[in-house]
Amino acid sequence: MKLVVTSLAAERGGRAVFDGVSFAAEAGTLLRVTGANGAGKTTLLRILAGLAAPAAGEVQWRTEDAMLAPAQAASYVGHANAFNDALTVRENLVYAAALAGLDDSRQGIESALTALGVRNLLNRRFGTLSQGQRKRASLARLLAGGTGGSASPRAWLLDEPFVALDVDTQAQLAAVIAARLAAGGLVIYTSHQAVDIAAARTQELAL
Amino acid sequence: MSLRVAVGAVFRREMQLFARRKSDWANPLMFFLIVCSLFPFAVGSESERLKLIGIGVIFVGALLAAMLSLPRLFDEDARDGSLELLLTSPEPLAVLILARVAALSLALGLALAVVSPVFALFYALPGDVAAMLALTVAMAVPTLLLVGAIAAALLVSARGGAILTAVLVLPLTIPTLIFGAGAALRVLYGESPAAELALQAAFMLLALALCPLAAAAALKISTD
Amino acid sequence: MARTEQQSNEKYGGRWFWRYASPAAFFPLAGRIEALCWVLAIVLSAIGLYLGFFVAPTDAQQGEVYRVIFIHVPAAWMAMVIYLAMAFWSLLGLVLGTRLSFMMSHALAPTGAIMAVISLWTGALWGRPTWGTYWVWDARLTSTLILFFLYVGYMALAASFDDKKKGDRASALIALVGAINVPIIYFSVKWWNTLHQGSSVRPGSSSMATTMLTAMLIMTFAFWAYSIAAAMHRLRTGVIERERNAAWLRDAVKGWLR
Repeated sequence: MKLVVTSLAAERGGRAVFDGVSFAAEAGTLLRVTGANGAGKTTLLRILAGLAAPAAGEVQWRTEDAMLAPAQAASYVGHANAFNDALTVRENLVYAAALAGLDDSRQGIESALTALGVRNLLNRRFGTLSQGQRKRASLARLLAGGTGGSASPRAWLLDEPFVALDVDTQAQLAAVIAARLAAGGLVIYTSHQAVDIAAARTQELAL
Repeated sequence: MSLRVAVGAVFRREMQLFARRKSDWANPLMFFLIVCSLFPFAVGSESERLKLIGIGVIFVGALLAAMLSLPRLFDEDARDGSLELLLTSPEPLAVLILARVAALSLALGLALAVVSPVFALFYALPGDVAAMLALTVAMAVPTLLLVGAIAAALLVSARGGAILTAVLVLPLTIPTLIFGAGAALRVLYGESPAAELALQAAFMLLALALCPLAAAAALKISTD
Repeated sequence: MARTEQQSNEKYGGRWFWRYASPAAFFPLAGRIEALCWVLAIVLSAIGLYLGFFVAPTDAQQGEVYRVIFIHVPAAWMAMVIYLAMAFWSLLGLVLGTRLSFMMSHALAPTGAIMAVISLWTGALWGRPTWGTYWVWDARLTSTLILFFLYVGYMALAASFDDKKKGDRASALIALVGAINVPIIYFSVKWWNTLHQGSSVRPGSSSMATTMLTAMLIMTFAFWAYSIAAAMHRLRTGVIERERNAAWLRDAVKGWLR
């Protein structure tokens, strides 16, 4: 899968945020988006995810045979945890996986949680977890469904994924991302902190 | 296949949330009870007069109670970020919204419909009228929720959203109000309610067909 | 989107009217339309009111009071027509993405609401001497009342958004939803009306003398002219507000101040 962005321009609340952004990223690439606060990193990721429409320009998610809609091509994890406080981690994950068309079976959920070291939180109410636990549990929805299957692995769009994680967990997440890249995924992320992630190809986009 | 899974997941989650937070359906019911109890204090307890206004009061009370639960459709999800899960799903947004409204209609609409005949007692209405009220309220609440979903989607997280939603939606519920209450009135006068029932059902089906699409468009507009 | 008249001419070539999708191009044209329509409105109202209040004969049943229909009926029609126009521009805006279409819709709404209020108020003034009550729940008056609610809802929704672009599209959508509902509501209210009251209270549609008809027609055109003038004026104000940072506007203002 390849992402091709041409002359992208974005507005937020009536003001222009960025203009003339063009780049391409292939499978197996780790793309880091950098820029000052307000430069539009979150806006860019939201546009790539299909949550916002650009003011100008084009975003194309291409596979060999077809073009994909953002909803099929990418999984987006934003600042918010996207989990409901009143439900358990399992219930939240099943909901997220089912909506995304991924594997919401018991094994799928459990293996996703294990990869992020929070398997023990399976039946805890989301509202009772600490910040770090919440972040890790909500990141698990990227892994539901694993990397198998006939469909090409989805791209990950991660907005500040390392925030609120301790050093060990950051390393764990970095390992998860690296594994994803090795399996042919594409990961685009923003981060104020520099984190070491093993990747065959690394790109940087400065807004 | 995955659409069915997604729809089932949306439906199940709404039910789980209703089970976890009883206030979500208990509060509208209490509101309904209180509103229906207020009018006799205002118009006098003479049963002939109450009988005349009873159908209207109960119907409007049910609609207002349903109205109050509209912000629940999207506001909470907007706060914790799970609205994005709906918006980035490969499944059609209109169908997912329909699933959510269906769950809300089932939980709340059923509760309101079951309780309406009880309030009919307050207004000295005979049993067959009470039964017809239950049926028409059961049809009116989903219609209101479907139309209201559009307004709720436009006003996600807006200041004073609940009141503005009511201002936008209540005029649009007048047809279902006319025919729903009309059917019960027919029964009160011993006539056939067939025409009114048919028309109310027609509006419900029209809303079913059009509103989810409009609500999906509205949600995309307000979360852009 | 074309930014200058020149660009829009290049872009749209033969289809000359598309250039007016740009606020810059339409602004002067709107001014000319507005001026013309003010003149028309004043002239036509003068003629129409003179005919209606002084020339048309006294009604056999209602005496002099009936003369209020020369204001009531055109106002009611305009309330309806303006809503359809509003829905039309909203649809155009949503489909084409032209912000001038949204601005036109916003410009029409207050006039439509005022027309609805005039219609209701004059209806009440007519009702009191004629049927003894200020208000009757007949289908047309009731539908006008609901139309007023829809106008207010539209304006309230548009005003509740800080992000104007979002507000444009949101209010456009609600205008369309309302437009689809208006015939449904009218029909339902008509049914409800015949159910509960019978057809005894219907504003007189007895055969009208020619002068009455002429006066009514002239007043209708006068109201049209007024509505267009008011909408154009509001549109120009809206354009100035929205485009206040645009180069063309700053140059134009410099021209006015010279």
